[in-house]
Amino acid sequence: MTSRTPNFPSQAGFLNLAQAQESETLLEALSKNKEDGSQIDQLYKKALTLYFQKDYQPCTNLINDIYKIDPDHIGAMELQGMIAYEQGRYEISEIIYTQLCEKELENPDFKIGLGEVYLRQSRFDLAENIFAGLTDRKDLDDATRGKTWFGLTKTKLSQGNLKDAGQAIENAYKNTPQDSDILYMYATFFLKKENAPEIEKHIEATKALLEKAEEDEEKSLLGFTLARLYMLAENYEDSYRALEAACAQKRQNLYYDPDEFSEYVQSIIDYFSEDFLTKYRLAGHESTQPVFIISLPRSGTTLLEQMLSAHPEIDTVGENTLLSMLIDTQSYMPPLGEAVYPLRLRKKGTFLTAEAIAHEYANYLYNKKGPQTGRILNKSLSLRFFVGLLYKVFPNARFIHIHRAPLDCLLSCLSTNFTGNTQPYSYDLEELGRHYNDHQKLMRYWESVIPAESWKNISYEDLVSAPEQHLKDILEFLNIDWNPACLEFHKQKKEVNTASAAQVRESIHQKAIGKWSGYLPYITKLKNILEDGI
Amino acid sequence: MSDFSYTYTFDLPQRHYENLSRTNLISLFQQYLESGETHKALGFIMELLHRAPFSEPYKKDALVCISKVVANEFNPLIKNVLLIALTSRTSTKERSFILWQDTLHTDPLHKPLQDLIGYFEDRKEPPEIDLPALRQSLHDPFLHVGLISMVMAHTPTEQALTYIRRYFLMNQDQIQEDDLDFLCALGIHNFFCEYSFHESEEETQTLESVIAEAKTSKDPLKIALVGCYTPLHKTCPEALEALSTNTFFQSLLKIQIKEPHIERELRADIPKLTDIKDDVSKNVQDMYEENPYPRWRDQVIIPRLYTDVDSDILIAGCGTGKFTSQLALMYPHAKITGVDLSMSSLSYAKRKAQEYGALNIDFHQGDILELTKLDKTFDLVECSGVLHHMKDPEAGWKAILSRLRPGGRMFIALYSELGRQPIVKAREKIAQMDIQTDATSIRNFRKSVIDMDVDNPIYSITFFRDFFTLSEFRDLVFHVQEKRYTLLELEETMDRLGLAFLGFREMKEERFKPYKTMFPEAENQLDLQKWHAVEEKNPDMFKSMYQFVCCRKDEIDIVNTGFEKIVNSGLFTFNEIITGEDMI
Repeated sequence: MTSRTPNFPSQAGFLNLAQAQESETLLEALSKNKEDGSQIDQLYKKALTLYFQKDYQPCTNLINDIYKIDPDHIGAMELQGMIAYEQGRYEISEIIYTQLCEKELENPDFKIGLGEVYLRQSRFDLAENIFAGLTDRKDLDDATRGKTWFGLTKTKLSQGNLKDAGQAIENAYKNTPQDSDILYMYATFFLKKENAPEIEKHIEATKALLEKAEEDEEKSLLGFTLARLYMLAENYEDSYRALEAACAQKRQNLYYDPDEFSEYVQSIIDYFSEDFLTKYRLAGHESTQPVFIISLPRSGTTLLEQMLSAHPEIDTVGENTLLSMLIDTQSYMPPLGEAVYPLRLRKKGTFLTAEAIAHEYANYLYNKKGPQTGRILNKSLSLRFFVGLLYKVFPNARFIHIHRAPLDCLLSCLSTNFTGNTQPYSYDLEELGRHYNDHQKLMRYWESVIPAESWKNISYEDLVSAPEQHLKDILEFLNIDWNPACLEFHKQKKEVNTASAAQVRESIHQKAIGKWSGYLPYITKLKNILEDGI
Repeated sequence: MSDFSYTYTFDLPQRHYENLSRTNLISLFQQYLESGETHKALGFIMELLHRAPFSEPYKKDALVCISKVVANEFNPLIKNVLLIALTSRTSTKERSFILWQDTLHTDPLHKPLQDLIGYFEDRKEPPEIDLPALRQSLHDPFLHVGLISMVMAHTPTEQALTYIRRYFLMNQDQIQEDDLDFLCALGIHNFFCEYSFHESEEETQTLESVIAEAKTSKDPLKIALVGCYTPLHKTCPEALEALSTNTFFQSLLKIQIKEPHIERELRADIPKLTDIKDDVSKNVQDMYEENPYPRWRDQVIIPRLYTDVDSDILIAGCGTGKFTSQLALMYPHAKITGVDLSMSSLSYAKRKAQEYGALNIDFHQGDILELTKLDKTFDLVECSGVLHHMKDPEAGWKAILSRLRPGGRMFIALYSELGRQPIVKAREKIAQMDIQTDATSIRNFRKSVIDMDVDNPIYSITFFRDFFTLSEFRDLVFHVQEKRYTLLELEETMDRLGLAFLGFREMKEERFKPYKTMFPEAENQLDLQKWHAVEEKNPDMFKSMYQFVCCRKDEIDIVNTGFEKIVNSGLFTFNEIITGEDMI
């Protein structure tokens, strides 16, 4: 048995035996003799370059080569941990960072790495222990101290402790005012219009940072921050210009083809035809727990999730991507006439039946929340593409489609710097508009073919204007009795790990409706595309 | 059969590996398994199952692991692994039966049941059942999971269960609410065995009133009791109106009423390819119409896809389609046609194929003799265990050959005269007894076989797994038509058809050894006359069937693209040693 986690070949992060066998190469490698150190340095430098280029597979190959020479190479382990983190395989990343922390007890970077993993796993108490422990250390430099406070900010925010989160971000900002991530968080979540003099100061500071910034990612992040600051100052023209530049900056490094997306949506509609949904009887899982919240981002999903999960019989797994990943990477079905199975089988060869995937997810819910929970929400954004399959394999599941006034939804998307490349359509008015139209087409299709006892539409505006009435309606749809706790959702301490973490700690308000009206003069193109869509 | 896990609160052993990641657990499990420390390996797989009680890949892994274990004494860990893993839908469970049975026979909890089985093993008259004492055994989920997932291929166990069933029927006032899980599990078991247990006249008479009562009262206990004797879709479809939410009861209704109902609906979608005119074909059809045969439950899913295989495949005599849907799942772009005489089997096949998402199969009802009318040819034609049931197998073979594309290949399986001798002897004796082939007569005959002296040649058929399921038993000894071949006859037949023998399929290494020993100088293992000499000395070696590949003589060196793609997938081997746990 090696002390090291082997090379993990599964994209989904869940291995079965056959897959695990493929990882034996590392075990073999560990038994070989050590070689010359300078060769390791060269390999490591190459691996590092590949990591920053996000070429994770060749990078992983080099890491394996390094292990053949030195099975305990700290740098290689850290790279492996970071890659696993970037790929969302947090369980693996956790193991590696834990081992790194054991090897170098005092190294704050490994502790911060582990804390970030815990944050992604929604294990906030563990994350808090790590970050809070580091804030007392006197030997940290400003940048590390800033990262520590930033980690604590995110933890507190997710725990619903806005006061402590505010204090932590102040400290983070104090230590590293030049860190664009910290500045973005500070501007997005904590600055309010009331802090006008401070806002001006931040605008100037951000502009100065932007001028000096070299990397694309940093430039776009600062651009989003600047747009937010201008908006708080009610200077919509400059705000929009800053946003436009930030989006262009971000967009140039992302792949998105609106034609391809239109075809993808059409292929889903073609495959999961009414005929498919009524004629075939796929086996699945009878669980009544799953509830899928279907939407575009920034549509009020987190609000709805928090309201519903305040109910003692309802829980949530947030934007858990296990199910989406399994469907997207391991499900496959034969062509039906001309219609080819639209979901991409990314990992060539491996395969799970739709039924097995349903069981994997039921297993996950069972382990995470126990059998006594009546309904368990999942609001992973890609679920919207899988409704047809989910309806077949979870006949007792419920789908709630939440939608919001298009311009509010889309401008909120446009102003958000989504993590990584998750929403690549969101940085260009034309692409955003076309994506929305295709999304709407898919939603209208699902609504037309999924029976009303399984599918429910709700608008964000209705939900915030008459929450009790609409929540009662949704609960009835879920066969669950009314509970007033749903209206007191902002007092609960349930975990939130999305861009809406701060908003949902406030009581119900309608401030977000028409919030983006200041941008209206600049978005004619978007409005035209939306009108075409109608 | 998928949702029973919900019913259990697992009584897990102490856990030692909570801090290990899932990946590390698998890695450790493999290492210990490979080094022969199976029980330690079990600890790791147990921890995995605990974390993922619904996970199909892990259940499958657990069953592979457990099949290698030999238990000399009761091991609670094995019991726990089996308890969870036997709910798998994608594994072969029959291999685990011996271990399950050994566990049942050594578990102290099951002492009362062991004692009862002991009476039948010793061929003694069993005492009156002490139900309160026996309940500790009957209420154990371990017994339930065995009943719902495996054939109880052990006559004393079957006799004990028959005796218990009779007790419940004749002492209905003793039945309690908490007996429901057991009765449902026994009902499910009996449904899959097609009610092969012996039923006395007294039971038959009593049953009538229970059926009437179940129909009106919709009492789940009465319904489950009826389901232990007769399929509910025939005798008590009203059971669907019963209000119980008990998971086992719901599964009983699903298996005994809802699924047969779906099969009836699906019949309308299965086109008739040809008329069935031949008298023997009609007789065979009648035999298979009564029950779908074989009534398989779980599919072994190979977790690999071969999307480049877009070949046309004909399964002539697909029965209930287990192999057909397995092929369709692995080759999702292949176009597969399944033909069978029995609509009952075909509708079962179609339901199961849909369950697994094997949607690239066209099922047709038709007679192989009339296949020449099928306006399509195929890269691979598979016809396993079918031709030998035809009046003129050669005519059938000719008909399927007409559907073979140039350069295509055939997978054929036929009975061996030498390999089937023990059955032939039993069949001859049974034929002299003039047994009718209706369900009641077969049930009564089964009982008389069980009661026979162990030295009686007929008694040997109780060692076949087929003995324990009504249709399989009927197929084993009462088939209306059966032609057996020697390899010499096979060679002659193939000569007449212009076919060349390309090798036996899926043979394990040890089965080639006698050939290599007898003919060390032979260049290959393709000489059927030599194989015949080998078989004469080793008559058991083809006791199931000759499974082989053939093609047109003038096309030995020509393989068409469609078949080549199938070969390249590596899933089939001929005249080669097979490896892998779950190779077809």
